Amino acid sequence: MSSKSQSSEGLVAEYVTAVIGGQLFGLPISRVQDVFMPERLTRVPLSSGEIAGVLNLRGRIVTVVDMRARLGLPKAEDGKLPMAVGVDLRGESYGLLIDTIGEVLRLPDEGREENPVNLDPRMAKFAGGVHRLDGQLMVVLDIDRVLELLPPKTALAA
Amino acid sequence: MSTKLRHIDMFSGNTILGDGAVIMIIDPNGIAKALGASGSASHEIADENASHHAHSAEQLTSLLVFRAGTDQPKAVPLALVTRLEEIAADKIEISNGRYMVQYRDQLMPLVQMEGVSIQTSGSQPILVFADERRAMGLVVDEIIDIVEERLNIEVAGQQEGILGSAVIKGQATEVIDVGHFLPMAFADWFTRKEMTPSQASQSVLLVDDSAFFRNMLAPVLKAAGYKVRVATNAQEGLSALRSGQSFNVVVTDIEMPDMNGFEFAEVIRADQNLSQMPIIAVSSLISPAAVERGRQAGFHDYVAKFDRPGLIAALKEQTEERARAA
Repeated sequence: MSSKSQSSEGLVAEYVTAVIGGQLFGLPISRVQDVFMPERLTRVPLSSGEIAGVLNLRGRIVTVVDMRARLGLPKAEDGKLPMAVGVDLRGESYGLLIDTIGEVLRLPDEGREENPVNLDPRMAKFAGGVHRLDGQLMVVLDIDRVLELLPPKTALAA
Repeated sequence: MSTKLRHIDMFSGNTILGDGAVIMIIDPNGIAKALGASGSASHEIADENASHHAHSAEQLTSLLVFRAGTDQPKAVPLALVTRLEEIAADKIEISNGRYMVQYRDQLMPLVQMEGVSIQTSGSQPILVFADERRAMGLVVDEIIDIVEERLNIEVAGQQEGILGSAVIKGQATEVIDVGHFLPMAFADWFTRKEMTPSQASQSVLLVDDSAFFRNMLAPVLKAAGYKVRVATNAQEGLSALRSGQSFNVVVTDIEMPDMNGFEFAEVIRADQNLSQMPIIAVSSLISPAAVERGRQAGFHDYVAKFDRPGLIAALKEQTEERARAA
């Protein structure tokens, strides 16, 4: 399911852009439920480091994923509060922590390229292609792969 | 709880508090599992403390102390209380002439103790008593404290709903009879559960060397209506059995130092006064060989330590069989 629409230029997909660790990412808009400021995050002891915690968003319990940790990036040092993008997976709500939210871009599908071979492997794992924009690269984030969070190995072994 | 967090045994779920924050709910079974095999060593200190207490005839009970109706403090064994809640006064509704509150997608009747008036503003503290399907709220004025005390009722109650008076934290405190209030919410609270108050006279001797398990299982048994005496080892259990105090059933751990559960059962079987005593094993080691060994030692039932419903079912079966046979 992606919000592709027919236009004069062919198939077009819409993306919500977000910056994580200085890199521009595009999230397919069809997967994005909302964007919110994470408040009153409850840390979950013993969870993997990629899970920032849980919070209450309008009565739903949302599991918040730290995208910097997920991408193997260091914690933000500028002290700015992160934003969160709300996504759903199989009826469960998740929030992806990002540094800053950008704009909505309509990009033609034909402009999307395969992951370049020199793409940072930490990003390549979750990338569903790239778009060359003016002066920068937008990595299309594959939400399903981002949420393929496995329990930490220690927990599996136990 | 999120599928991404389910691998953590320590939590049974999460919930949203009244102020909107999310909290994780601790699962005592998960913690017990995590302590598991190495538990006995780390419990030694706790056990020492516990055996120290056990020397005194009475045992400590966690009590919830509150105020309702009068200035005198009242108390109820904490093990019987499911949750403490503060409900916004404007959420309390009157339906069919009774106070109710919508609680976890159900209508929960509120029962007032004599002299307690329901708050009209602010928040109303209540003690929630629940079983699998239903909940009732006992309206109180103020929740004061949770204390560990020897529950020794010295003066029997005159009033309905009061078991009697006990000294708690140096103050004469009325211990309430929860059994009086539950049927005020649902008349068939006890009959429906096939748990008549008379069954409360069944008494259980619980033998376990781990303070952690004693503390985990004793409240479960008490909540199911049994009188519980705990012993920290088989020898102490035997002295209790031979002290003249009568027990309906013995629940014992298997892995214990000095005399293990199998040996304990064999000693009980060999004692002519005790040979008919039903004995239930609770063990973290469940293997066909262990169960067979248990049968030979004379156990009537063999239950996994974490299987609390299984233990209650086994207890019910054993005590009811005795009652029929008698």
